Amino acid sequence: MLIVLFLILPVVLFFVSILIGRYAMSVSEVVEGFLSTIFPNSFHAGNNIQTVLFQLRIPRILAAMLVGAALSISGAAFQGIFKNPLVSPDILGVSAGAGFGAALALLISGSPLLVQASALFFGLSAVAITYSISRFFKMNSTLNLVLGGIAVSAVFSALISMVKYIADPNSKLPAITYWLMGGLSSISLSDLSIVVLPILICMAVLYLLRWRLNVLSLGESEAETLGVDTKKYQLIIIVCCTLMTAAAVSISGIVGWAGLVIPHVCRMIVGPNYRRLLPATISLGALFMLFVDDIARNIATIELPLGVLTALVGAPFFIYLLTRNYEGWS
Amino acid sequence: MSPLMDVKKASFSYNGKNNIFEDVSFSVEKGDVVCILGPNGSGKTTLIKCMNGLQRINCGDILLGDRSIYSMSKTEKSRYIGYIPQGHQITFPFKSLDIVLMGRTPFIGAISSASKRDVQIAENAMEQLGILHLANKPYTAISGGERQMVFMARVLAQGPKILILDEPTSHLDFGNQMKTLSVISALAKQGMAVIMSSHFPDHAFITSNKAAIMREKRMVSFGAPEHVVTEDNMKKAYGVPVKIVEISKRKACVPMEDSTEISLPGINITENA
Amino acid sequence: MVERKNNPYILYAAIATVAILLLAGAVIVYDNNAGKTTASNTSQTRQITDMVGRTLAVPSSVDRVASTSPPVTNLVYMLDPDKLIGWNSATNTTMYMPDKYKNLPVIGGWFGTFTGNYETFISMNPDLVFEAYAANGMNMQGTDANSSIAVRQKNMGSIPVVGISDSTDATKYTPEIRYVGDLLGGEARTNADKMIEFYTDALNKVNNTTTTIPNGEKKRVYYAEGPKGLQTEPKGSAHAQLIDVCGGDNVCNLPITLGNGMGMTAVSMEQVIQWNPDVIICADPTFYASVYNDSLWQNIPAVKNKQVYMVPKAPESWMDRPPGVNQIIGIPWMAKVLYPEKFKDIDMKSMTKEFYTDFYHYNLTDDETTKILASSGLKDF
Repeated sequence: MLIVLFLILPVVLFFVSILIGRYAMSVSEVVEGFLSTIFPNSFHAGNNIQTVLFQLRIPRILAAMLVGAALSISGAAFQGIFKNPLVSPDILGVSAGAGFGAALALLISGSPLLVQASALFFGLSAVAITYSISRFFKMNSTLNLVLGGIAVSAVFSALISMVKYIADPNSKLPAITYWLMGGLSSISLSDLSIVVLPILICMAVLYLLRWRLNVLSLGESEAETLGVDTKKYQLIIIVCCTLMTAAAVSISGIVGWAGLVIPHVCRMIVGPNYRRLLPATISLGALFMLFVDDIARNIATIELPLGVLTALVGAPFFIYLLTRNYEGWS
Repeated sequence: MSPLMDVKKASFSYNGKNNIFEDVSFSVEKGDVVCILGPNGSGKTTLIKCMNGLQRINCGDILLGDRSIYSMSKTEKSRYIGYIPQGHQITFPFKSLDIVLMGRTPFIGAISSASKRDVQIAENAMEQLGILHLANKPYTAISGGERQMVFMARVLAQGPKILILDEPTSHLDFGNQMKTLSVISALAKQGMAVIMSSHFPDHAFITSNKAAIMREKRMVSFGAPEHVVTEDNMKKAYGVPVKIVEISKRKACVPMEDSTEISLPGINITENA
Repeated sequence: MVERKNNPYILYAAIATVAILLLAGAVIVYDNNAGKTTASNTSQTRQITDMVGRTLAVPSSVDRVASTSPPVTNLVYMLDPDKLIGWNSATNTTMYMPDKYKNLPVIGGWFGTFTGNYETFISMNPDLVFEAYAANGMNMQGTDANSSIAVRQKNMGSIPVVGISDSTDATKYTPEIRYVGDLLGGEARTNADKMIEFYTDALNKVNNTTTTIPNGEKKRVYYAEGPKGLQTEPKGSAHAQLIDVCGGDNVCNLPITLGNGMGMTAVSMEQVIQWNPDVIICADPTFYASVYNDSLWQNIPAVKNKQVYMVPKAPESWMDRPPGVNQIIGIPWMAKVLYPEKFKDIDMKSMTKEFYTDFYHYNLTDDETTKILASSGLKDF
């Protein structure tokens, strides 16, 4: 039953998403579109069909699933090492850093590749700074990480505001604002190809460490006395989650709530054991983001910003979760 | 034959200036049950944290067998020492069986997960303590006494040579306190050494074959319970007059009802108009 | 917890993964071949060079046109409205426009806000799409025009994307009017001729007079934006250019780059009082309605002498936001506002009627014309 939800639904939505869009295509046209790419001598589909399918829709669908999965699994892992179901992947400052990186690159009229690279770089740097700050304190490292993350996020958010303030209001400023709101409407295959491998590798690493994650989520001293080197594993997990989140944010802009709500829901369904939780978050995260992005590109003639939609869908749902009698709350 | 744990002149301070405890020495053999008593602030909990490796002593050494604890890897340490902390704050609703399974972590590789054999061991442990029926219940939904038993099962599954407990009975009802103590005795009979800190001097007489008193940063007494838990020592350590009596096969430490020696200012309850 | 019942589901997962990999593979194959597709499968095409310098093929007969930003969209509307297939944003639907054009769909775009949905554009089957970029070679997003046009083209597939150098300088609209008119041909070409003539006549007339005004005698003008009138555009800003063009002296001498919105530098009342403007041009009707009764403003010369004016905005602003050929009619208007004596011979009424009829394709009645001009504050026109 659960398997249906987690395994089949995303695949079904994947194929459904290929079929829906503002450019109307019948199923046979879609099939023809595929065949004419692989066997160009035997099948001829209209140019528009090929453009819409391969230039616009499929990269976007894949990107949405990848971003959703990356953010969700990062959220799940962070919730474990911070022993707090209210934690999202942004907690160490990666989103604020990435936003600043993108804003800076847009300010100097950088190419989309530069924007993406800058977002990635500053996202990682922000967390590196947070981590270094926390190392100055000997005790209670997760609390220090959180506090450091708050401070670093605040600094980078302020820097973003500064960049917006001096940006040319006719061109740069709208571009920056748009990037920060999150969206996949200009995703291309090359953007995607840069981040696919890192994200998949990090997911694999997290899955391999599923047992350690379980133990870490009991608490630091418990984990230590069970033989787990908490500092080492915290670092590995933070690096993986940050890399995934930064990579995701670098192609989609700042898209919140998925990393917070999806792990919650998955935990309610499959329990907190990471052996099942991690695959569940990958699956449900991909499903959720794909669903929301389908709304973003279909519900109106114009594009709606993805980050706004995830908040509109995610936040009320989160409130609903709060009101339920959920036994996972401490 | 080296003792299981040998603490040699251990001192510890957080900031390098004020010692939390100093010059503590004692040793623990197979099958011992050591009860560490002492008022709050005497350094008991910190001593426990040093013994299980969570903190590192500044002076002296702690030997496990014939190796220093500081020469062991975390995995080796966790196969040697098991630990049950005082409060059981668990955020996520793991199944009780999962909690017990976590005891097998020292034997599970970094990228592996629990094997069938591990599950078997965990289930056995729960069965031995009569809590197998709790296996699939979320840990957060069972009672305090049941949680304590789950932790005990976890230790059984882990199978260390030494078990360290920090005030294992402080948060339990009377019945569960006794149950915990009897499990501790059973573990000791199987050869596990148990070290526990406690606020109940009487418990030393129930389970322990060795007792110790921490007072003002030092271990002022160590030895058989009847030599350690004396009226004099209790008075000096806690300021409470007690009477040591013999009941059936054991001694008991009973606080005296009339605490004329204890001076309290007169207590008046405020009258609110 | 260790149940391994997933055997049939592993099969599912495997099939799904293979399918997704196949699709990804198809995407990659497509991507390698992309760019080899040129014009659509309709019959005749011709080669053109767009204003960036790219050569591309467009249909010989262009009947359906879209543009990704309002200034060029407005230009297309004004030259040949039947060819326009959609507006960039909803605020275009106002008065003084025939219903059938008012009701064209809103298709978004890529300019100040990025709401364009490529599939929407493609599904409306335009013959070509105009993409505007600024005279300095940057596009509306502040990135290099060539690379962003390339991205636009890639995502539009076989629909040709034509780069248009869109001037924000109100004195330099002629090249783009000419280009678009010639490209669209037919009625558009004729209208382009007319528009250029109207434009250059107005510009020359104004220039001939304003160049004779010595600096010391120029009217001091404050451009009041926002509901409280306490936001403005500095001297030299494209937003307030008409003031400069028509011989006015923009009192705001602050640097152009300050600001945290689309221009609209915030200033204080003390600052305005210190500037002491002779004329106030209002962008916001709320402010205009209240200024004569506002005690804060009553000592400003412009207010005392009833020299406060409101920029007409229907169907497009005569002065600003968006910048573009909609400002052409603002040139004679601003001239009369600033120097009514010197420009007595401008017949604003007939110019307005002519402009609206020819370029907004709406026949203004006498009353409507009077209404537009009177409510802008002009006394005699």
